[in-house]
Amino acid sequence: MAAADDLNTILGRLRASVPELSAALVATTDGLPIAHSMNAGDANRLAAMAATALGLGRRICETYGGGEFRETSVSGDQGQMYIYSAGSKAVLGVVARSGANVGLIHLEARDAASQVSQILERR
Amino acid sequence: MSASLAEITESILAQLPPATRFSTEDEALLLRLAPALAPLEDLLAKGFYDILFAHSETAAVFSSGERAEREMALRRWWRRTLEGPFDARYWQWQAAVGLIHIRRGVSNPMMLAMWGWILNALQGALIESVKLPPQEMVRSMEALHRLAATVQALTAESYLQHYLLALSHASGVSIDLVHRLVAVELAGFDPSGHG
Repeated sequence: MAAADDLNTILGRLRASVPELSAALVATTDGLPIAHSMNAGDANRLAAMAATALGLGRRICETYGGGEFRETSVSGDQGQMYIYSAGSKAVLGVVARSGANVGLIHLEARDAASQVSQILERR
Repeated sequence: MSASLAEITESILAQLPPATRFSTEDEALLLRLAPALAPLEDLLAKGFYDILFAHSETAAVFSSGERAEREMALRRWWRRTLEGPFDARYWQWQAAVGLIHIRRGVSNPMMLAMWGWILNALQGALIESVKLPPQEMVRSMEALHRLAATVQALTAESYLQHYLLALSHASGVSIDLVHRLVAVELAGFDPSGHG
């Protein structure tokens, strides 16, 4: 199975595990969408934003001595986006509506990010 | 920041079509005319800063008492330009000006406008003071225009590249990602709405 298929499978499983997610995507650290599953919106723009948050998060971690960047989030009054490092080459972003189960999102998305990382590092 | 000034300079020069770049023939001509051009130093140094200090936007770039130091920097550039050689070191210096301009708050419109003034001032002086024969005058101005184009390209593009590099380094957003963000942002931009 090609990496893109593997990634789509991971995103599909993630969304099935957390039905409150309205979008999940994997992008390169340069902001190119590799795989996405979205109810609506522009995958190109969301991928670029996720990669930007990743880059900024990494720099902030370096600056305060926080070690290797893992994840960050952006919350609005109607929803949140969670951004996870997925190895050296990629970022995983998920979007959820307000009131979603954050613990479940983190549990499933962290595992998905780890799988994404393994797939892309193998390439 | 990752890219060196030498790399940035080379990449900018490579973008210029050879016919538009300052050439070895231009260099030979300028060095031959150097004895006649050297006395224009006072005119350039005074006129250049008279213009800048007469306009509030450009005058605001300078601190009080700085004019003599700035004039000396321009004089050094003019002498070095007339002495040659136009080697990697010279072009890297012109690219470094872009970096200095960011730090000093000198914008590209200011730089480009003053290059226009320099060319006009030189043209006037070549006609009125140096009194070159018409053919030599035309050739000289062509060489000076190619020098101006080359230096302007180096200074302006170095300004942009160093600005982006600093932003990239500070934010952790790679240059490739910056380019992607710009492409995504401008994909839906309709320039016809700004005519």
